[in-house]
Amino acid sequence: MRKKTTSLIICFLLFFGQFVYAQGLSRNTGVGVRASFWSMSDHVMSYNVSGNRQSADIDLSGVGVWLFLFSRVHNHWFLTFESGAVGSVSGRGDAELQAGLAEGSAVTPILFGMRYDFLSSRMPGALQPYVSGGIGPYWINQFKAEARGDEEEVTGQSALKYGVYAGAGTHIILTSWFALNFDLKYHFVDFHAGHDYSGIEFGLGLAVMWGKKREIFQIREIELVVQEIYPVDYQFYNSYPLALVKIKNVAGYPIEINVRSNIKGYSERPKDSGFIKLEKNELRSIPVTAIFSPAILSADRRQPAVLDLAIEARPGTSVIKQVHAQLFVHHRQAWNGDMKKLKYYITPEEKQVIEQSKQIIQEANVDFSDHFNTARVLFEYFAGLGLAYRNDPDVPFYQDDRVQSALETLKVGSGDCDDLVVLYASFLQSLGIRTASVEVRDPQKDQAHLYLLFDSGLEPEQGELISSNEKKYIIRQGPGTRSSIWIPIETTRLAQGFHEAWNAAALAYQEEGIIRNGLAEGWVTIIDNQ
Amino acid sequence: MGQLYIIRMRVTAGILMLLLIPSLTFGQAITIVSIKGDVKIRRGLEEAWAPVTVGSILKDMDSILTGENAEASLQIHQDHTFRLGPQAMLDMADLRRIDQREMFLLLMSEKINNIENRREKSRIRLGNVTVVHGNDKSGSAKTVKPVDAMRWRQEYNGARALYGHDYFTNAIVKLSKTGKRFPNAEDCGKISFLLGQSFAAIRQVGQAMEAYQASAEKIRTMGCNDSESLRRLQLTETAVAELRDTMP
Repeated sequence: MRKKTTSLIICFLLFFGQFVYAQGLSRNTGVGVRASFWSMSDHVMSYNVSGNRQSADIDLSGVGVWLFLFSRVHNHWFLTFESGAVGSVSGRGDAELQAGLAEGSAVTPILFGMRYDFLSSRMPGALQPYVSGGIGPYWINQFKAEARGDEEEVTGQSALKYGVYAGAGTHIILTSWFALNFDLKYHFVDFHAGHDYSGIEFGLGLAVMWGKKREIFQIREIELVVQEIYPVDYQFYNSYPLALVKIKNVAGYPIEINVRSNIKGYSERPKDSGFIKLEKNELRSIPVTAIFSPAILSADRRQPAVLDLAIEARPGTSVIKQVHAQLFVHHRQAWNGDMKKLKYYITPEEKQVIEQSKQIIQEANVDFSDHFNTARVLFEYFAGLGLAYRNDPDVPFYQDDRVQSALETLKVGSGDCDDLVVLYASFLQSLGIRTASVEVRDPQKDQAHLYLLFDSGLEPEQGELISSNEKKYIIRQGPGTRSSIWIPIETTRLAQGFHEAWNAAALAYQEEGIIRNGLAEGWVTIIDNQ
Repeated sequence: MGQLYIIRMRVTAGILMLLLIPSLTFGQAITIVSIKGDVKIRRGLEEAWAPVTVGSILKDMDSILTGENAEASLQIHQDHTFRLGPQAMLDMADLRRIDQREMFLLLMSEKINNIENRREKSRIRLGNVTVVHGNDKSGSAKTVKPVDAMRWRQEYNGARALYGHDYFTNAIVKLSKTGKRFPNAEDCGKISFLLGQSFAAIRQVGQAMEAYQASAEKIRTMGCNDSESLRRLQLTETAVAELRDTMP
C-alpha cells in the first residue's frame, strides 16, 4: 500500500512540473491509440532462463493496447470512451521433465468517463494536462494450459466485473490536430483496490484531433457604421469607426482583444485597435478604424472592397479569428451630399492653389488683409476665366453628387454649384479668409443648392463700409462674443460679376432663410468650411 | 341637400380663413395708411432710402424708417394696424409672426461652429478697409465713414414697436441682431433691458434674467447716472428678484 501511495505522489509531482506550462486550445474531438502497461495484482514482469536452457520462467503482466475517444461537452470538460485489451501471461517450462504450465488472462475494459483539462488556456505551451475518471465493465478472461508428457489440459473462465478508474495524463500538442498522449490510471476492478486485477496503468500513445478549438471569445456581430467610403475624406476614417465588432469573452477569465483591420488595395497598412481588456463574460463593441492610403484618391468608379478583420485574443495561446465585411469605395469625386463633409473637398493647403491665389491678389495690388476686396478680385478673376456652370454627369443608377477639386474645376473650365463653391472657398481659405457654405434644401424644389459665405473680417459696426443695407450681409457670432460680417456669394453667378453674385445670394438668404423661414425650419443651413 | 352642403363648405372655408390670418401676415403686401413727419422706405437690397406716401405698399424685403418726431401706421391685414413711433426702423420681415422654437433656431443659425481662432492673423485694420457704397461697387478706396451712432436707436425703437404690439419673439430676434450689430452701442443697457422684458413676456425666465443682468451691468460699467437709467436699473433689479421667485 505504501508503495502505491509513493508511486501516486511521484506521478503527481511529475505532473505538477507541467503546471507551469499550459495547454494550447484543445480541439473539440479526438481519437487515439495508446500502448500501456497495467500492473495487475502487483505482478512483476520477469523472465528467467536457466540450466543450459533446460527450464524457463516468464511472466508478462498487463501489456495491452487502448483505443480512446474524447469529445468536449463544456469548456474544459470532455466525455471520454476508452476500450482496450490488456493481457497477462505467465509460463513455466522444463525440458527435462517435458512439462509446461501457461497461465494467462485478458482484461477488456469498456470505460466511460470524464476528462478535465485543468490548466487554463490563457497560458502558453504545448502541454495539455488533464485528470480523468470513469466507470465501466471489465471483462476478464482467464485460461490455464498445462502439459505433462503427452497430456495436455486447458481450462478457462471468464467474468464480468464492474469498476472505476481515476487518473491523470497529458497531451503534448504537436500540431493543432495531432498530439502525443501520456496517461496514468489506477483501476479499481470490482470497486476494490485489493482485487487481483486492480492496479496502476501507464500508457503512451498518440491522438488525432478535429473540430473547433475551445472558444475564448465569440464574435457576436459586425455592425458596419460606414459602408460607403468616399475617397475625399479618407483621412477621416483614421479615427472614425468603419464598423463595430461586438465581442464576448467566454474564456471564463479576463482576456485582451486586438482588432486588426485591413482593406486590400486601399489600406496603407493594417491598423490595430490595440489590446482592449475584456472582463469575464463581458460583451463589448470594439470600434474598427482603417488607415487608407492616398491611392484611394485614384478610384475612378464605385467598386466593392473587403474589410478584413483579424481579431486576436490573449493571454494564453494567441487565438486569431478572421471575419470580413463588404464596403464600397466611391469615385474620388463622389459626395453623398453630407454638408459636413464638403469641407474635405476644399483644398486651401494645395500648393498650386496657394501660389495662384497669392499671385492673383498681388497682381491686383490688393492688401491681403482687405478680405472683402481680396474676395472680389478672386471672384472677378474666375469670372474672367469664363468658368461655366455645368451639371454633374448623369451616371445611370448612381445617386451621389460629384465634387471637383478646385484645380479640376479650373482645368475643365466648368462645374456645378458645389464645384464652384469648392473652388472659391479653396482660394479664399488659402488666403486666410474663412468661409461657410449655405445649403438650401427647398421643399418646393427638386434639387438642393449651395452658395458661399465668406468672412469679411469687418466688425459688425463696420457694416456701413460695405453696404448701408444690412440685408446684404450676415453678422455671425464666433465662439466667443466676437462677431463679424459675412458676405453671401452666389458662385454660380460668375458670369454676372461679384456684385450681382453678392446680391443674388443676399436675396436668396433673405427670401429663403428669413422670409420663408428656411433657417428656422432647417432647410437652409450654414456649415462652416474650416 | 345640395344647398346645405354649400353652406357647410362656406362655413368651413370661413373658419379656415380665420385660422390662416396670422400665417398670412407674411407674404401679403403691407400698406402705409398714415404718416407723420419724415418717413422713408427702402426696397429690397437697395442702398438708398426714398420718401414714401400714404397708400404705398411694402413688400417682404422692404424696410421703413421714421425720422425724428415722425411716425407711420401700417395696415398688416384688414383689422390690424401697426404703429411705428419716431426714429424707428423696421423690416417687413420683422412682422412675420414666429413662434418660440423658430425664434431660438433663428438665434442659433447665425452662430459660427467648429472654427479655430485664426482671426488674430488676419484681423482687419480699419485704416486699410476699402469702402464700397451705392451704385459704385468697383472697390475704389474711400474714406472710412464713421458708424452712425443713431442706427442702434432706430433698430431699438423698431423693436420697441414690435414689443408694444405683442410681437415678443420678433422683438427678441430684432434686439439680438441689434445687439450683435452694435456691440458697443452706448445704450445704457436699453437693448438688453427690452430683451429681458421680451423674454419675460414669453416666460423664458433664464434668458430674461440673463438679459436683465446684462442691462444692469452695462448701466454700471457705462456709468449712466441719468434718471432714466437709474430707474431702469431699479426696474431691472426688481424684475430679476421677481423672476428668481418664480424659479423652481
